[in-house]
Amino acid sequence: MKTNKNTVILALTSSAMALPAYSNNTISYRYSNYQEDDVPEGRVVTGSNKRYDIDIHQFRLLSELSDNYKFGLDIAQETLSGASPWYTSDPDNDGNPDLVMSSASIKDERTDVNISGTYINDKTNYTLTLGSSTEDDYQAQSAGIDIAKNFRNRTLDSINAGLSLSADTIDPTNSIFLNQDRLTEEAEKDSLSLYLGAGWIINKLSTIRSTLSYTKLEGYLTDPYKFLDRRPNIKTQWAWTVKYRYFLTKLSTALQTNYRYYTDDWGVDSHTLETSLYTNISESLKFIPSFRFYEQTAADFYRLPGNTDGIFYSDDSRLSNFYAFSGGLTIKVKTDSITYVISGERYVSDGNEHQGLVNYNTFTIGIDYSF
Amino acid sequence: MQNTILSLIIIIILGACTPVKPWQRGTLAKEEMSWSYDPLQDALKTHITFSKEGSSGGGGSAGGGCGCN
Repeated sequence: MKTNKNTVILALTSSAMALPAYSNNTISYRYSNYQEDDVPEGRVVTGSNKRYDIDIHQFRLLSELSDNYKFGLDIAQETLSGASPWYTSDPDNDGNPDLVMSSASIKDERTDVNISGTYINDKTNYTLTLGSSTEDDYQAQSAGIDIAKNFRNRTLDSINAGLSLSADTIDPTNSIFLNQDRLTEEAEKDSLSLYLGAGWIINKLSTIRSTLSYTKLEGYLTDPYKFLDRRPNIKTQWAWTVKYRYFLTKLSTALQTNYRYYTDDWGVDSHTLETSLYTNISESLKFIPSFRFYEQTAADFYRLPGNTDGIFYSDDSRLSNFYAFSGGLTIKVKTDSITYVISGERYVSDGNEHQGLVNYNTFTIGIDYSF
Repeated sequence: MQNTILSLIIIIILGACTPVKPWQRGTLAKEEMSWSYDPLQDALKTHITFSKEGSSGGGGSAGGGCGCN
């Protein structure tokens, strides 16, 4: 008996020593290229018709330090070149405004770092996130708290809530392509964001989640590089999102649908509908086609040239009424510990005569490694 | 009107909920059923649409801004 007991203890001890120290980590990397279509040369009054070309590197580390603690690190680095619309003009008086572009190619770099720590207490996760974004003419410091409570045996699967704050500093670089007010010293912009959401399990094959968010921005909200821009210094916005997931068993495919309604006190209302089909071609090969539709109304103070009167004014295409379609494909190849990712997307916008509306392509390759 | 219709659809869907035991949630735990199957790609898409469209938010924590124009 004594010999058998010692053998069992020895076997258990040996097995315990052979187990790796508690860790469950994932490192991810993505390289992406973002390329905007050129503005038709006949629609540029002066300046370059070459729009933005951006290279983006993203790194992520997720680590389960223990049963109760997780750590996350996100780093994104962008390098940007290209010209930007400065203002619109209609020198031909034909009713179709053209663009006055920045002439020399803009070159800029941005680095964004976010660190998060999560404490897991039974069914509730508490996450603290700190972030910092730095570029030549803009700095943003942010902090956020997220709480997620999970219910394991109920149709109401989860409740999520969060608060985040951001303090931004704008300091336009030496450029002749500035706003007519020519911001000569640093300006600040602060934002507060709150959200509350809940998720439900509908049945063994489908779930739904709804989230309501509120954001208030205050400070210098005008674009310092848009010549005629004069925007309010306060903005309040609401967004309501609904996400639905349904698994098509016979096709081994998950239907993912997201909808967002957005409204703000500048007059912009928008609808966004996204759909993906996550298709399991095999255990290791995944095809994920996706489609997105977006439409928005114009801001109250948006106008094209000819009438720049009023306290507030903007001819920025991003505040115009327009719609956009995009379609893409993501392919994942999974092995035991590594996932390879490649994806591409085409985005096309239209809906008015503003030549500043963008069409662009994105291309991404990446890898996820779990250890 | 559109949001009213969507709200009614959601209420109907929730009314059809059936209890699911923890051991029956295997399909729901698959990556393809997650709210985000590629968080880095979603973060990039969110950043791009924030820069090129007039809307933002709705995806949880807002994070910091940028000088993207």
